[in-house]
Amino acid sequence: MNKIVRTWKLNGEQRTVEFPPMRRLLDVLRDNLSLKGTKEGCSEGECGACTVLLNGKPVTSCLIAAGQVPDGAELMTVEGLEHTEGGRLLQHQYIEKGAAQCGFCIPGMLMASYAYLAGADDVDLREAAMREAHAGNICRCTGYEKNYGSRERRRRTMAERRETRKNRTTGPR
Amino acid sequence: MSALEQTELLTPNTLDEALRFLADENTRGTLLCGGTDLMVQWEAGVRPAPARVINIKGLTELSEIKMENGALVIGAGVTHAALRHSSLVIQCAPSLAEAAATVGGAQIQALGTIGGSIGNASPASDMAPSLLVADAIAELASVRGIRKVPLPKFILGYRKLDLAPDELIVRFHLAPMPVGAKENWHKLGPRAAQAISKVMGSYRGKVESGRISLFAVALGSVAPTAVRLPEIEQWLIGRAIDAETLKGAEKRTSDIVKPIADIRSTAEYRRWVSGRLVRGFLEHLASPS
Amino acid sequence: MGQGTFTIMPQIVADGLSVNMNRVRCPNPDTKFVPDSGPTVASRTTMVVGSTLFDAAIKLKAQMEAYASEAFFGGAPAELNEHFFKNTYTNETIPFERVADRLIKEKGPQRVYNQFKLPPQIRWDQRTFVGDSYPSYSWGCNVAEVEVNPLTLEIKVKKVTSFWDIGRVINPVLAKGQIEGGLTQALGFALMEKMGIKDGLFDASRMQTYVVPTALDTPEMSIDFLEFPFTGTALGAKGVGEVPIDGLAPAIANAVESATGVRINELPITPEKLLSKLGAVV
Repeated sequence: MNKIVRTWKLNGEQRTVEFPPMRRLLDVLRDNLSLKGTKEGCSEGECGACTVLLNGKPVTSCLIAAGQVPDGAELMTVEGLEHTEGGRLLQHQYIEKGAAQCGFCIPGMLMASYAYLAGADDVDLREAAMREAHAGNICRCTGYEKNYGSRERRRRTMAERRETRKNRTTGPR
Repeated sequence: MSALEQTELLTPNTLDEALRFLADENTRGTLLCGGTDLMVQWEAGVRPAPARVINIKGLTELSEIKMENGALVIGAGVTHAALRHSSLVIQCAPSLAEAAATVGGAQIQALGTIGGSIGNASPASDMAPSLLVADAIAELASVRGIRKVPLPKFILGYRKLDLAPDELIVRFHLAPMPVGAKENWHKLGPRAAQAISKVMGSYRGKVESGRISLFAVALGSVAPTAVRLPEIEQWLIGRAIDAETLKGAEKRTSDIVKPIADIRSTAEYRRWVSGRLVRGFLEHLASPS
Repeated sequence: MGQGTFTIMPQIVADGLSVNMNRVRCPNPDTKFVPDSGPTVASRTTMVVGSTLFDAAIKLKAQMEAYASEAFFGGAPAELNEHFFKNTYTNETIPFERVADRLIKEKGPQRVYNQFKLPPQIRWDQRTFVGDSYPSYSWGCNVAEVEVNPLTLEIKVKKVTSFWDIGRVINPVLAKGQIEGGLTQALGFALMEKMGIKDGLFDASRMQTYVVPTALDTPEMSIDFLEFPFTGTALGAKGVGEVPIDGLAPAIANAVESATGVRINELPITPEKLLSKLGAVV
């Protein structure tokens, strides 16, 4: 049988999974690991709905062969957000702003937001940079402004970001 | 589910091991790194699923950016995200950093690599023009040894490379931008991000004592491969950047390029805007920095 | 999907009943229980279904108040307000639950039926095609600020300012989202989206070829409402689903014309079309 076994740190937990090595990471997450939050949109890296974090970086999981993700890699899907302070804050902000209509793009959009805001100490919170950070995620019903929102919201996010980072280093349970 | 369920995956731990896999008929396979082109083509059935894939993602030998013997050396596995943020690249080949920042979105930039962009041999490679103006040399490796091939001789045509089945692109050697020179990148796409270009280009130039002493310009998506424009470059050397030079360079460029029409643009616009890009580069070169 | 129906319908019913929104449940519509009301068209859900529910809620409220008056207040008028029924003569209050429990025990579950009726002033003659084909219209005004790059004729929308009359706004957050999304689609139609046919097949059948706006293409959007409640229904709401997509492309065409002197009469408005109208001399 053409199968391999990998152990990843997935949403803060050790998970071991067996799959054909060239199966897309998207399919392994959804079908082998039953994490259905990650969505399949275009299947060609255009829409960003399948965005997950691989070692902290946002990637389109439809373009990665799961066998390319080595043992010990850190993965985070939309299901992992609620285990972090910053993730919960983002969720609430999306809800407050009414950012989701049909919601299909939202798991990927949230992961792009999270990766950008939690990614580095010197995050550029100016509008152009925020827009660029979300340019890999296509939304067709609510537009984009609600997803990175008002100046007031960016300030709040920045203030709470330290919390996120603290949580990231201690690791979610 | 995936078209690739039967495909075998080999993950070498070192470059040497990868080369040995490539050398042996029993372990040879399609090289896969960022996957941003190949995974799409396989899943969509544009390319048949291969029997075997060799995963070179994360090989440290392919991931370095450094200065070596006066050249800027960039590993083939360096991602667009790493390129755009590398201070060495920003300093020595700024248009390449700018180009990397316009590839896809954050997700594609985190996956896609410079080696893949060139290895895909598409005329719309966002990396090619900036590498061409930096006189980039591709370093190719196999168990038989190393070959260094200038980029124009390496990219032979549409989806055609001078690359043997047992060879792998290891790194690119770039001439760093000379002191006092300038570079710029301009990409015209149907939208501001996540775009495959209609036309794009880079230049590297320098003005000394009011006259152009260096000018290298390359355009993509106007021919089967990205191209330098030697006739334009030679015509410009020694000239002052005045209205006549701008007009002459624009017209000559539009006369030389032979683009085609496709879903993204018309041949007429591509021809015209090629000249406009060269004019824009000259204006950029003339502007106080 | 996603237009906020399941948020605004409980809002409307809660408003009609004068109870808290979390007392209202909104099941999936099912023709096993209600008549078939036709297709999802004409941005009419809020206006038609919303009004139907609003009027039904008012009827149900009156029914419950009548019972409270008779059973608890000796015939004095009762008024339901949030958690209590109030005797409007004595200001005595009885908790909602107490009234509701006794009402259900004595008379069983309370039901009201209501059907949407066209306001009487709306007339349409199908023979002569004269009159109002729809009972209400929403209105919008869009201002587009556009930059055309003189070097390349690339078009960039810098800002969109828009005002909307959708009658009474039921949920400002969701309504703004509908409008922002509609404007984003309109921007795509105006500048980049194109579905052609080649050899009998769509030439832009994938997201790589059918190009829609990204966050870097959409401009700052200023969206505001001017509320003129529709007088034909008690609810006063009109539709918002489709109207945001109508006006922006013409506004962009006007702005491009004002910038370049050239009018493009076919969408999308592209640098290629500008070039063929302007000629190579810019």
